[in-house]
Amino acid sequence: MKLDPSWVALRSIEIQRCFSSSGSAQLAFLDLPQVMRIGQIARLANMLRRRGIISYTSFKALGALLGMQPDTIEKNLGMMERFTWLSVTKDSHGEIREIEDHVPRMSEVLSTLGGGYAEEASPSTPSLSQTERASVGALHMCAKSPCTIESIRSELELDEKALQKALTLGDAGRYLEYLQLADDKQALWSPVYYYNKYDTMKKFFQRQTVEGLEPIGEALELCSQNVGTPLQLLPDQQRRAAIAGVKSGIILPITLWMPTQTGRQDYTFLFPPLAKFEDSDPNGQVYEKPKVLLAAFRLGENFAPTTKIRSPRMVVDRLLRDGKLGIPHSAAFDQYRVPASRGLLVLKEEERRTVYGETYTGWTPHLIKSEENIKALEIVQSLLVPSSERISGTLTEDVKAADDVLKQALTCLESLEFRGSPFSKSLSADPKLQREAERMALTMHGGQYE
Amino acid sequence: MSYEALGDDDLPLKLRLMGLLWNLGWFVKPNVKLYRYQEGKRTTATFTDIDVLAIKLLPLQNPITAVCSAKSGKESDSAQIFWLSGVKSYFGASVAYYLRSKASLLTAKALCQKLDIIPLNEEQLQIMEERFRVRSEAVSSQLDLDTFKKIHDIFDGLKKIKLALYNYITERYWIDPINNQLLRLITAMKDLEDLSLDLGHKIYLRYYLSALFAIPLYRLVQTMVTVPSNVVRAELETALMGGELARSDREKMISAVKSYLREFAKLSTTSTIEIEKGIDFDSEFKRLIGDLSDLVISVVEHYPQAVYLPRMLDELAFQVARKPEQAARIEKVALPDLSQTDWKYAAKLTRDLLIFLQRIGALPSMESLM
Repeated sequence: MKLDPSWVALRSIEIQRCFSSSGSAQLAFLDLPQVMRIGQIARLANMLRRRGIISYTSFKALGALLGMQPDTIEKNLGMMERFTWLSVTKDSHGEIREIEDHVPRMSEVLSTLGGGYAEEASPSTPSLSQTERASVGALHMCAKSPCTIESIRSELELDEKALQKALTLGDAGRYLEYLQLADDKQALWSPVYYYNKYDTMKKFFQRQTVEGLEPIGEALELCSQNVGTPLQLLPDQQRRAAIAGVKSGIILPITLWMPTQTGRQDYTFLFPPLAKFEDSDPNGQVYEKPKVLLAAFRLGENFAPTTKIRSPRMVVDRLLRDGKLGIPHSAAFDQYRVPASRGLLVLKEEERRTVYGETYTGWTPHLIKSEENIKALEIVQSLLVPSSERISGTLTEDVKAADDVLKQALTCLESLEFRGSPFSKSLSADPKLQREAERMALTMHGGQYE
Repeated sequence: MSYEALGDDDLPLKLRLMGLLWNLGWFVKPNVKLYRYQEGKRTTATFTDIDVLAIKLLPLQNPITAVCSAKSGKESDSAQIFWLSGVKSYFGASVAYYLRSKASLLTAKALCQKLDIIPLNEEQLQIMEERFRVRSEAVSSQLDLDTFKKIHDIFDGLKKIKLALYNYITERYWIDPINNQLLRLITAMKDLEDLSLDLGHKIYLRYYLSALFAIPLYRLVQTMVTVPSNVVRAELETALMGGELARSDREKMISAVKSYLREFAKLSTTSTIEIEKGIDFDSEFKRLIGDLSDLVISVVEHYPQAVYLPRMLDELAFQVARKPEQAARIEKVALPDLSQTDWKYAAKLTRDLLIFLQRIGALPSMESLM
């Protein structure tokens, strides 16, 4: 299995995060030195992003917060400077005084770091050891759904010693855990993605057989990639798995309906258990409103009888910007009745004149501009961005978490909820084609000067 | 704008005026030619040219433009004053300077007042230079004849190798809308890397184009100052596509081209590229928008200092023009109107802009820049 550099970095962050709150950190630094370094640098970069100019003392404090030793901080600073993520200003004695942040978006941070520590050795870049490749690969596989050790072994093509070492480390860091399946076979799963659903998930997985695990993994992946996926549109096997997931509580459903000529038609939309939102409120209500809103957008996108929503993201942007949607629509009442009943929107019946001069009446949703509703829309916005960007958005929460740590001496327990949706890949290897594509993109947007 | 008129008798006067305006915080360029464009193509017919064009950026305002006519050894001429008034109107300039070294200007005063033009003669220019200490400051050296000659050589080389790029940055840039200015300068910077120019000349042009890029960037940022950062990206996309209507049309066109290419790739038996990846040509544009929104957010955060950005970059270009064998140092950049406190943030924004251009592939790595 060859992992995309971004995934190498992302899994490394998970591993580093697990060890940073465990007593086995020293063990990890010995056996997984590059993985731990990727994790540290990525998290530090994320904390620094959009900070502007900070003092060197603050920079060192942030590094120490992530468990970096003073010499490691200096090394990491040098590396970040080489990537042009930072620039330093020095005083007249040559001592570093301030750090300027030029950290790019997290997707670029991940691909740069993952690419720097390539899996395959090259003279210019450090490589991951066999144990590190095994650790990153096993976590990547188990993040989607539980896997048997045989499947991990055959997929990763690693020697037995490295694999066993990786499993021991996973157990010590608590990012890999053994599981006894219904057919008495042993599997590994990763509990790090299911903080508050640990028991439910474990019981659900234990009831499965090896054959049953694959469609569950696929259903979960589809839900994570396209949050609010309509159940009705899933392929047959994944739909059955998703229904089982809904019954066990690992997939969260919202059901809405639309009137038909014969009565009404129910539509179910599926949501992954996003620990980030559920953990952020003791009552667990923060995720409720976004789920309802997103389900209403998905209803309009997939099942509206006339003029389907082309881009739910544009709808959210418009609601945030203007506080209402553009023009009245006859089907808007049916589509938005549930968000309206939850106090998110007010549906106003409005009259409008078309370009041909005819007048018609329709419904316009107006946002009730409470803090909670705006937050709900922002969460929907974050869920609608492509999965690769969403990962960076999730990591950005680290900055806030780190601030909290500084202020309140609390530990950061941020989770990453995305299990395995592929990053968007850049263009194929041909540099000429890449160049022509760049030029074409610029030309089509008015960037040709000749 | 061009540095062509090396044998021009008026050149020393133009340079003096440029030095004065530069010291007062203006971004200045000499000899801006206005060509006639027909059906989007440049014709050989020029409308006219402006001796000095100056732009001043101010927070929460549209840039102020000044057009200047500078002629040495000449008396004032009412036809010229009317001409300058027309040029001022064409550019939407708020200030016009009418400089005639020998003129008494008494006769021109009333007409100039009526047409809102500032008349100057040699004596008045000298008084202003002394008041604003132009001659005693180091900044004047960047606008001296020697530096002008060096820049003239650089532009001459560019003109011979890539006339279209030369024409764009010297003429059309000044009349382009900001979305086109930004995107076309990115294309120009990418093209610049392939040209067989002397390295020192290339580095100068990189900074020069970056300085030109900073002006429409500032104007773009001005519209984003109050925009919440989570909406910046969407707003930028619309702005770069030329507004909501143009965006809708462009998106339809792009979608049509993509579906055509998809079908073409399916039919093409020789194609070795993966269809979905191979036709994802607009991912580059999305990436550019992502990086640009980061830059815009950064500029918004230090918005008051962003007015210095074009001149900071211009100053780096001047450093390279004067000593091409030495790397330009941002630490050496000093603007007469920039305080020490503001310098720190202006320098950060300068680096931010250069790093942005580097990340989108318009400039090479930073080591070769600063």
